[in-house]
Amino acid sequence: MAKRTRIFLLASAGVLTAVLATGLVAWAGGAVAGSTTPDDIAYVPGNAQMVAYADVRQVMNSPFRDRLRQLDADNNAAADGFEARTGINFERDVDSVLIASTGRISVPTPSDRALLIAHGRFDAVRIEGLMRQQGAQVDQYRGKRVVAIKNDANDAALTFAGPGLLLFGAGDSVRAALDAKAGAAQGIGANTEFMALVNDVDEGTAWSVAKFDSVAGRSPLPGGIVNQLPPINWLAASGRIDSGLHGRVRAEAQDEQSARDLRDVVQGFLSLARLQGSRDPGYKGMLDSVMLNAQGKSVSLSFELTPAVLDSLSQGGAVRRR
Amino acid sequence: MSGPLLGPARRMFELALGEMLWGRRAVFMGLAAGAPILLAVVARLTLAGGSAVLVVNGSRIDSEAMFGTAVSLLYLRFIVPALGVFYGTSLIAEEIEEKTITYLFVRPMARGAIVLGKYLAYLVCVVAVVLPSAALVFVIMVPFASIGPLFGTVLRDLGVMALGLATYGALFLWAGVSFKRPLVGGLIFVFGWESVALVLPGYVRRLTIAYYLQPTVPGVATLLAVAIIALFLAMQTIERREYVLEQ
Repeated sequence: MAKRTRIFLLASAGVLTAVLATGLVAWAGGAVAGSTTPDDIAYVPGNAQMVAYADVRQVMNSPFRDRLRQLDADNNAAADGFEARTGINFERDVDSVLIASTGRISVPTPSDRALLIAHGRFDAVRIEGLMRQQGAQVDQYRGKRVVAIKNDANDAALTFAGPGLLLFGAGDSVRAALDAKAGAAQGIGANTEFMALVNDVDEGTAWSVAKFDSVAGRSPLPGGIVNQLPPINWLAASGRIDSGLHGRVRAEAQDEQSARDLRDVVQGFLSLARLQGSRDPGYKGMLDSVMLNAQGKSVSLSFELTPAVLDSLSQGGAVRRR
Repeated sequence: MSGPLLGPARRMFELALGEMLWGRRAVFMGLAAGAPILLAVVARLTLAGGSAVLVVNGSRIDSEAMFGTAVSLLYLRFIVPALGVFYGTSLIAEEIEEKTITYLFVRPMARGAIVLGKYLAYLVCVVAVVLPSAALVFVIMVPFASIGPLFGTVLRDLGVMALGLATYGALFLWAGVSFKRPLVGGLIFVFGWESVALVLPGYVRRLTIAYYLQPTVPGVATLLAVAIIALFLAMQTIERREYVLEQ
């Protein structure tokens, strides 16, 4: 083999090796450090229909939150009410929160078993005292102290599963969470389809993965339109919050044809929105950032709310209010 | 097939590899591999600078999606089949056209070894050019933060490209030893038949190579089988066929 041929082949192999090594390093780095799935997911029962997570501390400390607070300075009533009932100041005490639901979110029936898992700094004595004042009983379950109220009007339980780790929800939900953590019942971690979606979105400051059926009733779209949508299995959403909001919504359709149909439907809505919002620089800026992708059975839509867009939206809102 | 195969095939491989890499057809290969890199640099600079955005159906396309498009449309639908046609058909047909096949046939080696050696030289040559090109396009177009998550996809894409080059090459090598004007038929097959068949409903698309190169189709076994069978048939055909050289 001629020398120049040998040199060419070595150079080619070198380029390929360098690129593959870069990819391998990036992939391994992502595998080691990139997986931000919270350990709390181990508490989520295997029959959960929806899991949502928020890094509350990061959200509260973000410039985006400051900007939103400026825009909506008067709306603190709900937060004050929550603190009065539970003794928990959400902004001050909570670092992260994970919410799981095992029922249809839209229908508040006994099958709706929401579970809240929060990390933070909690005054256990004060919180338990408040619960006891409302008639709560204290029980032991899987080595944890469960404070529960169960009567015709209320079904709520609370336990501190670890230092700074609060589990709150219906009595059955809290016990199911402790079962899942102890390995006595199947946890959501065994659902590979669900966890694949979680792994896809868990790098966001806040994210959510849900069975589409479980959230369909909460859609802002009219029921008639929701019923006309192509069949969707899963919905996943994530948002990275800093000075702005970088969001991504992903839908897993039943098959590739459904995914293509869904992309066309979303495309239609986007075109309509562009038509209506073309004169408003705020909406136009937001819509310009929208990216729609369809690959296989997956359709994803990403968008950005930059500080400039927020300013523009708030100015537009102020003008309309006047 | 008569006589030993591997030793002569290796000597043929070394001879053919140099000819392919430094012959006049290498210009086409260089263009095919270099143009996507140039496009990737331009696209990345343009997107990074924010001076332009690529919009398809009213939606912005990011650099990761652009890389996916480059792989599926540029490499798998154009570069890989084009290289397969041009090189595969010319491996033996060029020797016939230039009347140099006689010099190969008078050597004390099995004719099948000539085909095998030339085919392996083609495969090493195109793989050594196309795969680094696609890998460079990947690192140029995709931001570092997205390289990790997309690494598995890129590995699969590179594997599919190598498999596509092997299959197209073997198929058109067979065409080259079997037909008098294989290039025209090859171009019609790749850019005519495959383009049409892929959009036709039913099972017609299964009669193309491009169908099995799609990421959603598990086609590794089929592509390998086609490559091996076509190569075997090419080796068989050249052993039996009489080539009458035009004066």
